Amino acid sequence: MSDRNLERVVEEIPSLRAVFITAMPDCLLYDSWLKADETWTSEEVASYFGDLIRANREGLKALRAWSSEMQVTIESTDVLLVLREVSADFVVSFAFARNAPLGMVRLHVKRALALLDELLPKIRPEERPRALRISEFLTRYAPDAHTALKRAALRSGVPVELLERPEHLSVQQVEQFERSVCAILGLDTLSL
Amino acid sequence: MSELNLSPLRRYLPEDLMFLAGQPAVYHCHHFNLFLDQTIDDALGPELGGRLRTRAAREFSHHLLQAVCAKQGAELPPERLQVALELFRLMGHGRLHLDASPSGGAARGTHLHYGFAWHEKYGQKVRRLDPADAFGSGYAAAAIEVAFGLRLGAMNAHEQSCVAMRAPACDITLDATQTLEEPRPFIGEAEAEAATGPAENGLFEDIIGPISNGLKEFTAGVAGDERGLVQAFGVFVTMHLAGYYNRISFDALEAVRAQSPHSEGVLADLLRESGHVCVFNTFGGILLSPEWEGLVGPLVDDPGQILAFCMAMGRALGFGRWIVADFQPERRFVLRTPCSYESTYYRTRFGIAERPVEYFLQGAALAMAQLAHRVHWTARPQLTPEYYQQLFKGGVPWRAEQTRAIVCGAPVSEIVVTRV
Amino acid sequence: MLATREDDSGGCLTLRLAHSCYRHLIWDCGLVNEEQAARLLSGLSRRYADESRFAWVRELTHPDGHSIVVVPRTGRVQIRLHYLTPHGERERCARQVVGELSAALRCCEPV
Repeated sequence: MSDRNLERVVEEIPSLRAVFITAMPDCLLYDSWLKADETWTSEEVASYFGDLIRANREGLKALRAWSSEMQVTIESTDVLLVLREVSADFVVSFAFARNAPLGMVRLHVKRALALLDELLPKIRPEERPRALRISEFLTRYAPDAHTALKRAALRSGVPVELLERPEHLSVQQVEQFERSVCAILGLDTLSL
Repeated sequence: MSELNLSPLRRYLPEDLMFLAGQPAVYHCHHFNLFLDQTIDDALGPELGGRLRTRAAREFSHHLLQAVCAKQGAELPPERLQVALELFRLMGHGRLHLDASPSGGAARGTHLHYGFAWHEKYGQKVRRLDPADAFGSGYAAAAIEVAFGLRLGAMNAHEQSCVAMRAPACDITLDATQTLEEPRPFIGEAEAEAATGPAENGLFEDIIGPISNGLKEFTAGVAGDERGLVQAFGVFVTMHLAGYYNRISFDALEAVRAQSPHSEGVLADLLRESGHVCVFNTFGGILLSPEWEGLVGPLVDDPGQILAFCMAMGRALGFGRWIVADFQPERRFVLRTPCSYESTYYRTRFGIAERPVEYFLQGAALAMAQLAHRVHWTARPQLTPEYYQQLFKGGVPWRAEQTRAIVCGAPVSEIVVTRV
Repeated sequence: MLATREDDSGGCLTLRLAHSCYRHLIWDCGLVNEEQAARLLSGLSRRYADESRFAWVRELTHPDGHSIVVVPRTGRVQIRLHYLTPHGERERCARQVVGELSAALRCCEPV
């Protein structure tokens, strides 16, 4: 998004602490705005919120209760979060002060989303290699993350030097890698 | 039959290798235990890995239980079973309940160290698909073998459900088998002495000796609580059989070398990493404890002193008579030892090696250099997984090279850690 | 919010979550001086059982199973809650124990 566009959309919203825009399906940070005194790391936050929306979407689909209008609201101790998909390409996450009135929050989110929908690009971002997304997913969720790639190398039999450049893996190696990541994370499949 | 107490069964060689009723033993925390078991399963897969871990546990537990039952005068099966269960609890491995005969049966575990600690550490992050308590399973099999006078390997064990997989308890089946394992060379005090070089003094000896003795005195009274867990120094501690660690590590290395030789280096790296895990969590936990403060005094941010403290801890935990052979702050640290639990095992079972194989020792030495120089001890940091990542991810500014190795025929093992 | 930083807990002792893998069972109190440490040990002796194995680190057990560890030479005081203390109750329980410790210190003040 061009410089200051996001800021212009959100800067006047009362009690807003931050906004993160996550590009899907890679869960990469596309853009963010943080209040001057916030110390969050946008890149970290954005990827988790992308995963959260994806898991939520899959869960609702399993319940046959999904609709594109879905919105996730989280009331934690310190923050009130509203997460919403804007097309299939972006997830926008608003972080408000915990004491912000919910009605006011919903109203501002709706207005801001209408503006962002106009500003965000309509072209689906080019999908990056699956192996790269597997690797990022592993690093994000594996315990003792710095050993995760070595563990995957041992489990998959794919040399660690190759896993360090996952975009060059063969189809068979990607499958082996994905199976090892599933085993490390205790998952049946990876929802990427 | 006398009441069971670990302290009289425990003995240190003058070179600081520890033995429990004649079996090589050490203290290790749950972080190390879980990481090493995980590495074995990564290398072999959960099925083969679990089988190797169960067999290793059975082998060394069998030898231990035979010796302890003899010392305690436990002759009848119920007496021997009682000794086995109590010993398991005292060593910090949890509580086992056995209902088995020479033809088989079942064991139920509560608060088994591996499953319980896995659930505590990882249970909220990832789902576990395979049971965690191969050690408890192998121990249960050995308990039945020894209680009923069966040969080593006569009883197979398989954990069916595990608290790490969110079951309410750990259930193990025990089955008699006619397929015995090939006997392997016994490793006891005599074998360890044969693979031990001359003891030396290094730098800071006036600090290391008294602290090490104080810690040994303290750990003599450490035993499992009513759950069979040892909560000490901020971690879950076990008194463990060094043979278990060694067999699973060296057998896994051998299997990987045979099946996918290109993975051997990665496995060796992860075995070194287990040394980082141990030093960060166990040594760090001891340093930050009130017990340490009472014994030694408040910590200071002095790398030389921290390294001296690490030597004292290594000796007290039964790892060998570690010395600081050389130290230049921010540049170089040389750890030397006349013995290690890895070299004792390797020399006894495999003879002379072509290259050093003391992976735990190599990793531990590197981690000590990092902790001594990079941790602000006086600020009493929280030793969290996030802090561990911060200290060790992306490589550390140190390189550890094993320049001498008992397994290669040298009288001592030596790790030279230098600043990159 | 758990007291992960120095936190006034109603009395002369402060409370800080200590390093451990036991989910909020171990709490460090602020330092007391050598003379206060001696007074604390004496003040607790009626209600707490002395289970010390060494003079250099004293361990007293609360009737509810919690332990108080005192390092006489440095004045470090640590509360170790019993593992059966429910998770949600741990901070409240630590505050209650530190309150008792503070009271023991106050009532044994020299005249």
